[in-house]
Amino acid sequence: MSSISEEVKAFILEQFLPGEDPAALTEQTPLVATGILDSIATLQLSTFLEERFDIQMQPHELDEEHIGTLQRIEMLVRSKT
Amino acid sequence: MHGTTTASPPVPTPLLDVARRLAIALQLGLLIVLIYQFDLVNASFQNLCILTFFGFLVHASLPRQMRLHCFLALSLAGIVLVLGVESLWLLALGLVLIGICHLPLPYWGRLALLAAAGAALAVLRAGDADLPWSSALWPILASMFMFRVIIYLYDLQSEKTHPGPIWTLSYFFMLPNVCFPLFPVVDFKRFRHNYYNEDAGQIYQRGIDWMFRGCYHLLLYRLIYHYGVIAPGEVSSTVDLLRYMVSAFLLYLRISGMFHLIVGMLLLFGFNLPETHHRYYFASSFTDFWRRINIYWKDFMMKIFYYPVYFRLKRFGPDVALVISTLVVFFLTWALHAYQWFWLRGTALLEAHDALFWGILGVLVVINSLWEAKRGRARTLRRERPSNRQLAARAAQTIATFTVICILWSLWSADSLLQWLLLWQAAGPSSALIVAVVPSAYLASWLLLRAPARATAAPPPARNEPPAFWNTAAAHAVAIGVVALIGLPAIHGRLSVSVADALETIRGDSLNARDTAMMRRGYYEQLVSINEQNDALWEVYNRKPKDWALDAPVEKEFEFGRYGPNAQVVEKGALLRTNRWGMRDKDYTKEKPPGVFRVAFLGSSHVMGAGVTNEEVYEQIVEERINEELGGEDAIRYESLNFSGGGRSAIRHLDTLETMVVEFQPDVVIHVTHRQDELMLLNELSRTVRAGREVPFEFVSTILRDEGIEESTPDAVIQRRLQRHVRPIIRWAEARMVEVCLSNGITPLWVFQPMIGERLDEETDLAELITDAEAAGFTVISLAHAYDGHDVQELQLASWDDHPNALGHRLVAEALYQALRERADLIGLPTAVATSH
Repeated sequence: MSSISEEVKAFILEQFLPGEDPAALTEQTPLVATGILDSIATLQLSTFLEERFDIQMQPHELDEEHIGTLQRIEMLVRSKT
Repeated sequence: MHGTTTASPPVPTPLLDVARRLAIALQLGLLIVLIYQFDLVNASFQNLCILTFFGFLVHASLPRQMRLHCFLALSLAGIVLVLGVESLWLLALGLVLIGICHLPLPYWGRLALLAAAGAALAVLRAGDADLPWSSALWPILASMFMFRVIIYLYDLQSEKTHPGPIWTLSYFFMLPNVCFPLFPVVDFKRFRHNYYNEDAGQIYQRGIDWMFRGCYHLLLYRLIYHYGVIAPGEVSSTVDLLRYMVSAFLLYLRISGMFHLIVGMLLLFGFNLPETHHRYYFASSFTDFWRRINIYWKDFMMKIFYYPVYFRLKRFGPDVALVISTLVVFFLTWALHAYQWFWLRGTALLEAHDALFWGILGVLVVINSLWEAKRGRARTLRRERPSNRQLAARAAQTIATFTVICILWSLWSADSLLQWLLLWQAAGPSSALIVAVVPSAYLASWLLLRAPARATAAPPPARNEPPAFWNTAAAHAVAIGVVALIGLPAIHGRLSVSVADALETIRGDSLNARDTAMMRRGYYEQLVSINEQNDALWEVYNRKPKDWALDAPVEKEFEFGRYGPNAQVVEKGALLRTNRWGMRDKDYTKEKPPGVFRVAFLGSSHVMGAGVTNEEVYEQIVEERINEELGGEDAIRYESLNFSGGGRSAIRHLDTLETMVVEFQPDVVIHVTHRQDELMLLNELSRTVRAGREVPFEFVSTILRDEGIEESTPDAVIQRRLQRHVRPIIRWAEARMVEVCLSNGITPLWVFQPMIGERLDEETDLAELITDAEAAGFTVISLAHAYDGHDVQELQLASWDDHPNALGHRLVAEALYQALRERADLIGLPTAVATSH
């Protein structure tokens, strides 16, 4: 797992899944369909990504295609940096 | 995990693939039998199911790259199947709208052109202009484009590549939209990205699962609709109020049922769309409710409005941005609801209680969202059994959320805010406990019972392994088959009478007693805004031709003759002629000729003969038959005079009797009554008072005075205050009719005529009516079984109008003729005539 994925994973575990086994959250774990990223969590994640990686998120990127898994989040961040 | 896996789905062997497709086809076939057995949705959808069945077999057998083309062909074939030639207009209008989205113009230019096109269509929708397509086309065109075109344009703007015309056409004209004016707002991006993104067999099986779920939602809806619903006017206790509120919310099963059928059908063609309406009755908070109910709408609002507004406002801080963007979403949900209403029904929806419903729900979701933003929401990836304490907390929250939503839903379902407030007043002071206890319980459950570890009130746990295909398929095939079998009269006829009756009731898409009464009352003609929850009645009314009811002046209260003397008009598809006295009858002299035996009929539109010709009215059939069969050269001639008219109640009959009928010197007066008399009396009194007219009976006007009813009193208040006086007024009117008859040497006869579709038992259902009539001094004849042995469809004018047709009148004529023959000596017909034949 790359450093971007690791950082995002740590954020998600701390903010939305406290007490969760880190091994249960993989690069392919669906984040939107499972409800881990609901609308409020999505906005919090978006703010985190903007601040941590100094990128500008767009509203249409807050969907499964872009933030559906840790892998996709990493791809999104990489495409902007 | 459906709809989300990124790894390539496993490829089954060809033989296994064929076997699984056949298993799906078997289940789909059984589902279609079930849908036919219970007459679910409508006939168009049932036909479309057949197309879907064969379409599935072909589609699933094709190579992947040809399947989308096949789906588009099936979708277009479905449109042609349902709409016929009009489908060309639908396609043409749709292609124009899609074309605008692709014009080589800047985004805002295309948006402005779309808005202009929408405005032009809105003018046509609202107007009465003669168009080359029927009004039935509007709801379908609207359901395909009113929201999807917004998403489509948004995605065109935000995506770099365009997927191509096959995707576009499949998206807008998708099967089975042509049968559903209310359709989930499917996201274009998801529609494409989730296409066969999982093992096909699993997607298909889930489609069957959701379609079956849709069927039992619809069957449960029918049970609630026929046996659970209580009319606002019948609410008189806290228990009634609770029943009213809960049933109002449960009626939403109709929408969730249809959405499950729709999404399930789309899954059968590989569109692995998300679940709709996920256990929304079990939401544990308001945000949870918003997430679960109509998930497609929530996703649409998030994508198009919530996130963009939040991004524009986030510089003011996350809390401010969250509050404002959430409120914007609820305001727009209300506004778009009115927009949707306009396109589907052609009228504006601007009601205070509607705005109040969305406003309150919006504020509750904002509070809940702020709480979750600060405190977090329980989530987990594990399957863990929650502790008893956690279960108790969850249960308390769920019950409290359900109760609050029920209260809000009842507000939304009410005809007006006033009617809703009157419910609470009628239920009594104890109903206030609901308001006091529920929020307290809700708060307590959050503050006191909330588990210290945020690990259990979880979203659906991750399922890394899909359920075994064959186990699920077998279980579904058995379950669907059992329900389909129960739908067979030969099977459920063997069950207990009450269960068999209930199954027979829910087998058809008929109106319940309340809606039938509303239909009789001309409910929709009288209201500017239609009760938006009442889809069943609206659908029936939507089939009615525009010129069904005549645009003639409404008969003024306590004046005879809506149409005037010597009129000829076509109403409800039949020619209606009046004589010189304004009666719907042949011409008669006022002075009774010698040798004539006269009978005067006093009744409502069912006796006047709405929707049949003069010669088909049972009153005229009986007259002719008595003259033909019981008369002779030396016999007395029989004349029957029809003093009936639409919407008249017992007090109108009394008024007509006193002011008009006696002048025609009848020998017998037949006061025809039915079980809607009380409702008709209430309506008549309410109309009279609100029109500022006097009721010409001191007995009635005293009651109106004592109840504080005056011209400015709203209809809902009048109806509620008069409820307990209705039966006493009818008793008084009937006693007075007998008095007038006897003092004029007339024999008073009371005849009960059933409504179409009523299954009655004189000893139970009619006991009170008959006792009252006999106590007043009437001779009683019941025609309760006149329609026995015939289906409703055989006897009523149309699905939107349950007046008896010509056959119905012939049956009533036969029953009345036989009754008159049997009781000739009691009603004054010459005994010799009756006994000599």
